[in-house]
Amino acid sequence: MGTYIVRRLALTVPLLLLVSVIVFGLSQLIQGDPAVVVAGGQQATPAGIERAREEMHLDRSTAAQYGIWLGGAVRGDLGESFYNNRTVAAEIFTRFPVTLSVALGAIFVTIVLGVPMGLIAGVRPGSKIDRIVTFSSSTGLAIPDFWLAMVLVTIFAVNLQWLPAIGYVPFTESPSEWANHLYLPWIAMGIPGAAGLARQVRGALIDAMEQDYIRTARAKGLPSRMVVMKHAFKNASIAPVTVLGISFAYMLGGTVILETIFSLPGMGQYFYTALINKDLPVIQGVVLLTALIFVVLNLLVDVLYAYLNPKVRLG
Amino acid sequence: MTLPTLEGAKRDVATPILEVQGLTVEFGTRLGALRVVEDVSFTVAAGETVGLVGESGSGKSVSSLAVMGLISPRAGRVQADVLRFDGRDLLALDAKEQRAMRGSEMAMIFQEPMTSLNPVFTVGNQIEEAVRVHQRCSRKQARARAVEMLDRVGIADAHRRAKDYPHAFSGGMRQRAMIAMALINEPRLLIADEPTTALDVTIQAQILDLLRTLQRENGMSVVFVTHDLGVIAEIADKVVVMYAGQVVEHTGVEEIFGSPRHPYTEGLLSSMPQLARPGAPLVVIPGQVPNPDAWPVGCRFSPRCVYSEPQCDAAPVAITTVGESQTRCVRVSELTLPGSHWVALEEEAPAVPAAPVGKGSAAAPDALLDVTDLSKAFPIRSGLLRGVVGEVRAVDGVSFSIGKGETLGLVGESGSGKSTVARLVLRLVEPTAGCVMLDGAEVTALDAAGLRAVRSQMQIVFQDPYSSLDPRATIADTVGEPLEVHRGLRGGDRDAAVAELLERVGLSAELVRRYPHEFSGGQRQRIAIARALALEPSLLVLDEPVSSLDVSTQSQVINLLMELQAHFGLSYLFIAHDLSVVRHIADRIAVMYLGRIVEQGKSEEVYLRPTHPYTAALLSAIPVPSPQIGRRRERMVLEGDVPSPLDPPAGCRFHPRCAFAMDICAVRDPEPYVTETGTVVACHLHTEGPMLSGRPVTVLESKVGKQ
Repeated sequence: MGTYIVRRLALTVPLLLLVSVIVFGLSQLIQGDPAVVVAGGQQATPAGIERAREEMHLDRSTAAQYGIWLGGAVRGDLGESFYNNRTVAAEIFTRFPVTLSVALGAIFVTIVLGVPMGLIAGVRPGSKIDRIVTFSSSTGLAIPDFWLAMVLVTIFAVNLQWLPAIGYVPFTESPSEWANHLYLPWIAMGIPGAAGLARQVRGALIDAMEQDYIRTARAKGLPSRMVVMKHAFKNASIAPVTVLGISFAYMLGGTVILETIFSLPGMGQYFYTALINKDLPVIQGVVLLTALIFVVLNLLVDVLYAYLNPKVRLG
Repeated sequence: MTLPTLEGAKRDVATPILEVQGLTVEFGTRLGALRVVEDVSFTVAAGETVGLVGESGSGKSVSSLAVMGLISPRAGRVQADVLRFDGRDLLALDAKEQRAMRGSEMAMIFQEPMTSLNPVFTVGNQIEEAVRVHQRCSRKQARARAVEMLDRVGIADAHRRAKDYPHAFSGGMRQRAMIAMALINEPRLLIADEPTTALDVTIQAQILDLLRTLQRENGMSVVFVTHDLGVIAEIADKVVVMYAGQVVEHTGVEEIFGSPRHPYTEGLLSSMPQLARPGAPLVVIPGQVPNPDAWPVGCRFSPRCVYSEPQCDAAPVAITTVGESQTRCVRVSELTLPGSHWVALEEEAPAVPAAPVGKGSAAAPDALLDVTDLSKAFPIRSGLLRGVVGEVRAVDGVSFSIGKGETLGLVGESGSGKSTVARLVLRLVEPTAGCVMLDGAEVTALDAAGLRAVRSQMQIVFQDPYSSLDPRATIADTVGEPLEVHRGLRGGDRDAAVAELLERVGLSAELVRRYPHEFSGGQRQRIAIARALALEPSLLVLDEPVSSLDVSTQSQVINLLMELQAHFGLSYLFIAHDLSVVRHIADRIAVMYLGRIVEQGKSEEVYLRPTHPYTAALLSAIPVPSPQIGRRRERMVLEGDVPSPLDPPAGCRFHPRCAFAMDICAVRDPEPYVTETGTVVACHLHTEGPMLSGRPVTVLESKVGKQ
């Protein structure tokens, strides 16, 4: 197991380097001269452009530019936005906790709703309860999250006035206010996830329950609870874990629409604005961070995978 | 096996452990209730072994699952006039009481040891769980019991192996672990559902020995479900023959083989390849087992029965008792059926060896395929940087040739490398070294285009007809694809050619638009053969083509292959683990062990007078279809598994398992030696080495070594 993790970790280094090359390559693809943008766009003077070019090392070779950029990125220096003086790192530092808060709660909702639903449906495929779960998970998948968000806001914030409709309070300021502001985004984001997960778990459990080793477990005289929760569930959890890892990574990338509806200062909005403005350092920084998140989560999923499936450990 | 034997375990025949009367099982389907088992009755006395025999679809497995209470009430309905275990009515028990009985008082082992253990828990965990669910004890005590039991079923180093996951166990070891799990609570009844079918014959012999020993020690009763009458002859006291959901004959084991009363029993006996005359077509039961939704009204076997008369089809046939036997046949009083005419091999072998071939090698004249020094090594990677740390020599310097119109049988246990040879010959896998010549063309030296051209000359048929046909392609597409690729046939032309091929392999041409799932196993294998024949090849590589088929279907396919060979002058490389089948179809046999050919010669020579101890052991492990001879004979039972090809033994690779091993065997690799009958054997018993000078070349007798 140890060797497996170390080897898997070592493999992420070349992967991250490749990602950094691609992210850096974005700057070469972008139309127009970034120095002109930084120097003031239409009003830029030739001298200002020249100064900007030097400041941004655009007068150096591409390889040197990459080296400088990567060196900075490794130390946490992702440059400055073209449009305000805030560094990308500082901005991410304040915004990422917001997105992380939303994603953690949403994935919690996904698991807490999705796993039991998938289990009770998968144990008795074709039964009434299975049909109810299958139907409601189809509905959950079909409902757009922004619509669900607006319905939730209308009910709980506008009509019942139990929860605030918008805004964000950092956990460090007030944990209860933090949670109050996040309940609705958690549910809006978690329910479609739970619907997907329930289907995954159901399918995997049905497959597992048909395996020969389940018959062996029954022949041993194990109670049904143990047959399902020990023998079937561990085998059945392998595929859903992969899916769960990917959806968590997506959530951590931030969502523009939900952040807009709930006025959350998260990563999604930041990235969206940067895209519209061709704010290259911000785009690069966010893409790099997202790639890092995917790589780390994939690593976690693989380690979990190895725990669940002893054959993988041999690898 | 070094287990203590307890003499004279008590046998109280008076009170049966298991009584089954009028057992009926129905499954709910979209078309309504489907009856798959009907009116099954038998009893099992204490300490007795009852064999439940039948082909797939006979209802034997479902009956045993029903006894175990393993048919979920949601899936099927189990009814019976009497279903009593040790005097208790099993149908009156609630789920909890049933569960308490399962795994403690009655236990079950299954056919597929590879899939019957849970891959994500250690073997020890799964066995100790069986203890803890039925007995009050600590985890530590349960673990100690599990290790003790693993040791008793012959797992070496049990303490350490208990911590391994199932994938680290070989097939034979997994079945031993399954047996340990089933017997750990000392059940009074063990139901064994085809426990040796998926295993090699040598491992089968070990497992059967183990079951017999444990049964004697525990005084346990056994219901042994199998399709193999040879195994029945070895292990059963009484036999229940099932066909199409019913018991057709229920009698003692001697009677089944000596004087069968039901034509189906006789059919099963005579289609055993062990009983066939070499070269002659195998006896077959025509047709196939009907599906449960299409059972005949009258006698269910009548449509396939050679003794059938109009009265047989009139009404359902009741079971009649004559003496100790019960038979479900209208004509039971009129018919006298021949029994097993098996004679021991020693008696069959001619006293005088066949005339020597008179040349230095066993190479066939006019060779179509010539394989020289073929090797394949797979690299093993390990560690942080996945460096190559070693290699598995799956095939190591194999040479043979096949003449035009000839069949070479390649036999060996799993792991011997025989399937790799098949793939190497076709260059589906690139050889590491060696040369393959097909009809003068050097296959191993061809470029991609040349290889494609020569591949139309050699085709392959795989073992599993269920996974080797594309489920989403029609038969016309599957069989016609090679014609499109190589001959450019399209549309009507292609379909006409496919129809002709299907008729050639005994299928109706009207089936071309059907999909694989609509066919039985035997029919699918015919389709696979039709596909292989499409390009009129000169060589067919048949990789275990009949191993997954029922006995009666197996004979049909073998006969078809022999017929096709006679008609087209085909050459076959026939790969199998079943020596009786190979003897029947092959002109010559090559025996593989750990990547090497250890013996190669004419079929009858190799089969009747094996020269290599490994061949002798393989032959000795085949169950004999005669309870009298089978239980009296002394057998060579090989101990242990085939060693890992990762680290093959030095010297002769077989020496650690060989009953004749000498000092030299551990040191020096034996050179191939040609005996006077033309058999080529690689064994120090047959070479004039320094320690053996002057010793004449002898033929091993069958009675070598003891169990």
